[in-house]
Amino acid sequence: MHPAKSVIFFTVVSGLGLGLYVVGGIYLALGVWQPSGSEINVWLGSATAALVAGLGSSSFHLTNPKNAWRAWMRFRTSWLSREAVLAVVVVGLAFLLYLLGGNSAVLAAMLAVAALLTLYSTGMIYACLKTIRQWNTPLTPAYYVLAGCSAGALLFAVLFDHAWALVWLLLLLAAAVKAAYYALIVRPSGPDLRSSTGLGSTAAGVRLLEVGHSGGTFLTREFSGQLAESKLQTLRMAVFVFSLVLPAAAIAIGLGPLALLLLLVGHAVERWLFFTEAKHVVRLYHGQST
Amino acid sequence: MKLGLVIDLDVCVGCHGCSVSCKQWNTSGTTGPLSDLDPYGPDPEGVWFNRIRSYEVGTYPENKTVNFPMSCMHCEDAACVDVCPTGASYKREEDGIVLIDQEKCMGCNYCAWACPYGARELDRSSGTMKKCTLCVDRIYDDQLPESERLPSCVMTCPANARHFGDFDDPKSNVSTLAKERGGYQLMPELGYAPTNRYLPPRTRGAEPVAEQAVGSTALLDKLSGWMQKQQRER
Amino acid sequence: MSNPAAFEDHSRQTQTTTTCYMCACRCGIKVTLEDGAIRYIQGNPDHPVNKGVLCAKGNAGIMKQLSPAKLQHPMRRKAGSERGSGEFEQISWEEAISTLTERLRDIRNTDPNKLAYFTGRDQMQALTGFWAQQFGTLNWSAHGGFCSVNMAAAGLYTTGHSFWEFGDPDWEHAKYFMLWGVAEDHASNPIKIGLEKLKRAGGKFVAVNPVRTGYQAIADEWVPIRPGTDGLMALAMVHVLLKNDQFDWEFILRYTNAAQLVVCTPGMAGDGLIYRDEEEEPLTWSQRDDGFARWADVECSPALFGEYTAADGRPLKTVMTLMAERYLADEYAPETVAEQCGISAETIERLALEMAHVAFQESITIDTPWTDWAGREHDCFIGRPVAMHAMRGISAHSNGFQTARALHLLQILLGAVDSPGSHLAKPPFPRHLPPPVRPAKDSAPNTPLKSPPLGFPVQPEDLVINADGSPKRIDKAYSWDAPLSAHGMMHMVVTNAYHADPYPIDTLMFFMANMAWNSTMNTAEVQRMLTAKTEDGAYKIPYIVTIDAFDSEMVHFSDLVLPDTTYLERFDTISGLDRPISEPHAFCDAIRQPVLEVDRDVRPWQEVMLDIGARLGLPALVDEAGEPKYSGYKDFITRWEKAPGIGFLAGWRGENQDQSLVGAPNEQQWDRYGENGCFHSVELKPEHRYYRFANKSYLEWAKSVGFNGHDGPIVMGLYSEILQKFRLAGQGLYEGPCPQREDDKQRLSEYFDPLPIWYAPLEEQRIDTDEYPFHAVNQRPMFMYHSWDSQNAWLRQINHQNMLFMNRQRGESLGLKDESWVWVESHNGKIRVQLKLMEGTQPDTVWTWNAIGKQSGAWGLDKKAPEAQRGFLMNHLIRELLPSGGDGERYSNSDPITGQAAWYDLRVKITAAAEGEEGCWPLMDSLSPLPSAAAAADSVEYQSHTAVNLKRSIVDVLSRGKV
Repeated sequence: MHPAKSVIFFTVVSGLGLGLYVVGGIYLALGVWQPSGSEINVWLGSATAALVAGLGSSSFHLTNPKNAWRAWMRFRTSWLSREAVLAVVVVGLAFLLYLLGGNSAVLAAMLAVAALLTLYSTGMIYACLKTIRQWNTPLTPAYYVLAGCSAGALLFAVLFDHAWALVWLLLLLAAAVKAAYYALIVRPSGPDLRSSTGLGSTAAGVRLLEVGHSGGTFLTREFSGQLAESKLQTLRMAVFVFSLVLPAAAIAIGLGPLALLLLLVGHAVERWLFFTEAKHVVRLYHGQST
Repeated sequence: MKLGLVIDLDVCVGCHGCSVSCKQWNTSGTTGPLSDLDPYGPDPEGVWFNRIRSYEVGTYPENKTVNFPMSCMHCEDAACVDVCPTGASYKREEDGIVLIDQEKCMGCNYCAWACPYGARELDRSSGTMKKCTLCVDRIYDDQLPESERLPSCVMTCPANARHFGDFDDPKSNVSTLAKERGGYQLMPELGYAPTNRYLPPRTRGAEPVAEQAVGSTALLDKLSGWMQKQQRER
Repeated sequence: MSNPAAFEDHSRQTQTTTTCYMCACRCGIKVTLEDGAIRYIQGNPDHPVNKGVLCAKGNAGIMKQLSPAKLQHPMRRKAGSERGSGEFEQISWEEAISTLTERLRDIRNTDPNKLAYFTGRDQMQALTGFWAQQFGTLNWSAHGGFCSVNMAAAGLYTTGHSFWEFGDPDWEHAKYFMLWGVAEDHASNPIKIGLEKLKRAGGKFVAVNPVRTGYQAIADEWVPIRPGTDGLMALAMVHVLLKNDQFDWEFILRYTNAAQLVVCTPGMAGDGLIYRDEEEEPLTWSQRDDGFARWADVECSPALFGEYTAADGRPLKTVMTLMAERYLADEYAPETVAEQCGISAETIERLALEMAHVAFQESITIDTPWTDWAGREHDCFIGRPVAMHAMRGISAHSNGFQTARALHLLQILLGAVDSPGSHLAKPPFPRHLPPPVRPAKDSAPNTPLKSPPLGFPVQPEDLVINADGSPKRIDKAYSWDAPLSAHGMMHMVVTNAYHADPYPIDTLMFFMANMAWNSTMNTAEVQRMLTAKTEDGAYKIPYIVTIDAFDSEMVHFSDLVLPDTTYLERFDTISGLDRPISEPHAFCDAIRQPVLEVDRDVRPWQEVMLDIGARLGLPALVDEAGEPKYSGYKDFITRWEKAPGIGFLAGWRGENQDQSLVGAPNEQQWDRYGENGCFHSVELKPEHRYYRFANKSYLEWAKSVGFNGHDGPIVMGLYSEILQKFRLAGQGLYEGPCPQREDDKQRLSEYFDPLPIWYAPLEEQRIDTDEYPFHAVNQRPMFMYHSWDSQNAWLRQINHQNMLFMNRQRGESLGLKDESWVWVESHNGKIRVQLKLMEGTQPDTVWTWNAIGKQSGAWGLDKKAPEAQRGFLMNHLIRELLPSGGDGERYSNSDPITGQAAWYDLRVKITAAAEGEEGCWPLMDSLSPLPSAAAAADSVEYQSHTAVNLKRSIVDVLSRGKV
C-alpha cells in the first residue's frame, strides 16, 4: 500500500496522545497518581494536542476534505467512523475532566476506556480489511494499542516521572507483538492468481499477459509498494532498534525525552513498513504478489 | 432484485469495447465526468469503471489466453459500503446496486482498500471515489427504448460476452446462464458474496474424424480407383 | 426509489444515425447530441453490419472528435523553409485550391502521369479512382496493395468472391470454423458476433496463428503455425483429403474446372492451357460419348480423372488428375511439412479429417428448391458446414496469393464455398473470374483513361508496360514485377518517385495515408527520400500534398496540407460500386451524414476533389459550356450514373423512389437514407442465398441489377489458366508479350503456377535464416485496428507502449529476461526494444503491437509521450526492396504475383542489450508543432451535462447496518 505521510504522522502522533490518556486515566482512576492541578492540565493538554494534531493531519490525505465532517456518520459499520466518533468522545471526556480539575475517578476511567477503544478502532480500520492479509489479524489492533500506550506511557513517565515500570512492560510487549506479527505475515496466505481468477489448476499456471493499461492507474498507485528483501530486513531491525533497544538504553541512562523521540522514530518506521508491506489482493490481478 | 452481470470468459476476445463504452456513457452519467489526467502527455491516467486484463493459463503449447473484464461485482455483503465512514457508499435495497453519493464522499480511499476487485477508482479532479453504477441511469430510464435499458457495456459487447439481469429471479437470463455454464464468483472465500458471475471457458472433447481410406494410397492406385468410380457412376 | 431522478433531459437531446469510420468495419451508429455536444455513440441495432454492437474504437468517437491533432486550416510550407522542418503558414481554401488546381492543370496538359495520387484508409475508392481516371493518370491506387490484395485477388481469380470483404462465414450454420492469420479484420464486429454465435451453437473454432491473442484466445484449438507456412499446411490437408477420398466429387465436377482438360506439352507453346474447341469453349472427356465434349454440356458425363490425347495428338489430363499428381506427392505429405510448419503431422491430418467429417457426415440441408445454371433442379441446398476466414497473416507474405488459393482449394474440395454453413459470398459477389475490368494502359494529356487505373489482368497483354517491358506506373503495378497487382503497390511510390524509376513525377498526393510513418516500410529511409534534393537543390519529389483530418507524421513532410473533416462532420457514401457492406443474404450500402457542425476551417475532401475536378474541366464533371455539372458532392452522388440506372447509391432510386439497385437518379436519396438509419438493404430471396456461382435464378437477377455482365455460371478455377499464360510468358512460350530479363522469366516460371503451390517467402530465400532465426510479425490491437486512434485520449490509456513479445521458454533458453532490453536486427537495420515473454507465441516468432509508436511531435501528443519515447515501429527493419539476390535490389518486397507488401516475411535476430543499454532506439527527431497546435490540456473532464447525482438520504445513512 502507498504509505501516505499524513496517515503515518496521524497514527503515530494520535497514538501517542491516546496512549497518554490511557495511562494517565488508569493511574488517576486507580488513585496511584495524584497529580497537581497543573499536572492535570499538562497531561490533558499534551494528550489533546497530540490527538488533535494527529486528527488534523489525517485530513490531509483526503481528496475532498469538505466532506470530512461526514466521517462521523457511519459508526454503525465503519471502524474509521467509530474512530472519529470515539476521538470526539475522548476529547469531550478530557474537557470534562479538565473542568473538574481531574477530580473524577469515574471520568478518568471512562477517558482511559474511550482512548483505548479509539486506539483499538484505529487498528481495526486496517485489521478489518480481508483484502490485505498482512493487516487482517488481531495482532494489528493489539499492536496499535500497545504502540500507542507505550509511547503514551513513556511521555507520561517523562512528564511526571511516574510509571517507568509500565513503560518497560509496554515496550517489551509491543516489541513481542510486532515480532509475532512479522512472523505471521511471512507465511503466504489468502488468494493467489489462480483462485482470484478462477482459472487454471495450479497457481503457477496462470500468468498475466496484458494488464489493460500501459501507464499507472489509481489502483496501481494506491496499491503500490515493493521492497527488496534485504531492505525489508534492515527496516524491520530498525523498528526493533528504535522502538525497543535504543529507547531502553536512553531510559537506562536517564535520557527520557531522547527515549521518547527515538521511540516515535521507531513507530514512524514501523508504520511506514506497515503500509509498504501490506499487499492488497487486487495486486494479484496485476500479476503481482500479495 | 439482485441486479448484476454475467461475464462469459469463453467468448470474450478482449476488444475493450465494454470498457470504452462504459467510459463514454458514464463520463456524462450520474457520477461524471470520469476525468482523464494528462490525456495527451507522458502519463495519461483516467477513471475507468471496467478494465480488461488478459491472462495466460498453462504452458506452451498447452496454453490458453483468457481475457478478463472486471468491474464492480455489486457484492451482497459489500465491505466497501461497510467501511465507508461518510455514508457516501451505499447498496440499494431494492436492486442491490452499489453506488457512491458524490456529494457525500470525502475521498479517503478506504472503500477502495476494502474492495478486492479493484472496482473503485478515485477521480483526482473531483476528489471523489467513483465506480460502476450498472448504468442505473440507463436501466431505469423509461424514455429509452426497452431494448436499450441495459448497461452500456452489455449493449455494446460485440461478442455477447456480457449479460445483465436479476439473480433473484431463478428464471432470468443471468440465473440460467450461471446455472447451466457453471458461473462462478471471484474470491468467494473473502465472504463478500459478489453478485457477478464468470462463465468459465468451455472445454471440448475429441472431435470425430472422417474415416481413413483403406488400401494403397500410391498415386497410380488412387487414380485408377477414381477412374473406376467415375465409370461406375457414368 | 427505482427512478428517483430524471437522469437525462431527453428534451435537450437529439439522435442522428450515421456510419462509423473509426475503422473499415463501417458499423451503423446512433449519435445522441445534447446541446451540440456528443452525449453518446452507440451501435444501431437495426444495422446489418453490427446489429447494435460497437467496438472500443467506435465507442471512443467522442475523443476522436476532441482530439488536439485535428487539423485546423489549409497550410502551405513556408517559402524557403526546408520540407520536414514543420514551418507551415495558414492559407485560405481559395488559395490552396487554386494553387493545387493550377499545378494539376499543367500536369494534365502535359503528362497526367506526373500526378501520383494514392489514398490510404479511403472508404470512397470508387470516387477517388473515378477522379484519377478522369484526370488521366495511371498513378492511382488505394492502400489495398499493402493490406489485403492477396486475399481479394486470390478469391476473385479462384472462387469469384473472397475472404476479406467479399464474403463471410455462414455463422448461422457453420459447425466448424478455421480462422487463418487473423488478428482483427475489417469485419471486426461481425466476426466477434459470429464467433460467439458459432460457439454457442456448439461449433468448433480452430485458430491458425503464431500468436494466441484476441480471437485466438477463444479458439477451441490453437494451431501455432510458423509464419509464412500456412499454404504448406493447407496443401498438406489437401493431400490428406485426396488420400482418404474425402472430397466433394459432385461439387467439384459440376461447379469447378476440375473436369476440364489441360494440354500437357511441357516446353512447347500452349502447354498448360485449357483444351478448347474452335469457339474457345473448354472441353472435357465425355464418358457418354467416349470422346471430347464441351464442359458446358452437363449431360455428357464428364470424366473427373483421366489422361487423353487430343485430335492433334497433344497429351491431355483433367485438372483433377494434375491435382492428384501434385498433391498426393510426398512433398505435401503431413510428415514432410510438419517440421517446416511447426505443426505435427498428426495434427495436420486430424484437422483435415475433422473438417471432412463435418463436411460430409454432418452435412446440412436448407429445404429451398433451386435450379442451377444448366437447368438441373435441386430440391434443397446441401450444406458443408465448414467455414473459413483468412486475412493479414496470409496476405502479408510474398507467398500470400498462392496460399490464399490453397485455402480456397481446400474449401472447394470440401464443397464449402457458398453452400450453407460454409464461406458465403456477399453481393455483388460472386463475380466471374476475374471481374471484367482491365487496368487502364495508356494515358494522354487532357484525356480521361479508357478504363479505371485498377483492374484484373487475364493475360500478359493486359499489363501496363511499355513495348520494352518497362513499367508505365510509378508503383510498377501491372508490370512483370507484379502482374496481377489489382490494388496497386502504394508501398513503392515514395521509393520509386525518389529514384525517378521508372520516371520522375511532379506531384505526389496522399489522402489519409501515413506514408512517412507506420504505413511505409523502411520508415527512416523513406523520410530521407521525402526530403531528398537533387544536386541543383530541387526536391527529388517536387511537390507533396497531404489530405488528412489529423496531424499525422506525413503532414510534416508535405508542401501543401488540405485538412479534411472528421467522420461526424460530413456526407460519405459506402457504395456497392466500391467496397460494399453487404451481408451474405442482402445487398447493402450506406451513407454518412453530418452529426456535428464543422467548427474550423476544414472541408470534406470529396467536396474539394470535385471542386478541383470541375475547375480542371474533367469531362464527367463539367457540362458542354465547361461549367460545373454538379453543385457538390451530394448532388454528384445522386445524379452521376455509372451505367444507366446505376449509381453510387442503390436505394430509393427511380422517379417514385421505390427502386433498388437500378433506377433513375433520385436527388432525395440522401434524405431517404437518413430516414432509414443511413443504410439500404436488399434482402435476397431464399432461393438466391446459396450456390450463387451456379444458381440460375440468382445469376439472372445479378445480371439484371448490374452485378455481373452476363448470367453464365461462375466456374471456380481450381486450375488458373490465367496464371499459366503468365508462366508461359516467363518461359518464353507465350504468343504475346514476354519478359526479357532473366530474373523476370524465372519469377514468372516459378511462382505463376496454375495450381496452388507453396514456396518459401522471398526474403527468407535471400537471407541466411540461421543468422536471422526469428520471424517478426506485428498486429494491431483490436482497440486500434485500422484506425487513426493511437492518439485517442481513451484508447491510448489502454496501450501507449508496445513491447516485443517472445515465447517464454524460447526466451529463457536464450537467457533473455522478461522486460529486458534487446536488439532486434534484420538485414535492413536494427532497433532496441523491450522484451515481453509470453506463452502464446510460436517459438520461432517474435511480434509486437503495430502503430503504437509515434514520432515525437506528431498527433497532438506531448513530445515526451511514451508513444514517441518507448513505443517502437518494426517498420524500420522492413525493407521495401528485397535483399540483393543477384538482381541488384530491383524487386520490391512483395508478392511476385499481386505485389502485396510482404510485411510479415521479416526475419530477425535477437540479442540482449548490453548492461546500461536501455530505452528504445532509434528515437527519431521531434517534429515541430504545427502553427495551429494548441498546448495539450492537462486534463479532460468531458460530460455533455452536469451529472445528476443519485443522493442517499441522511436517514438511510444513519439507519442502515448493525452497530
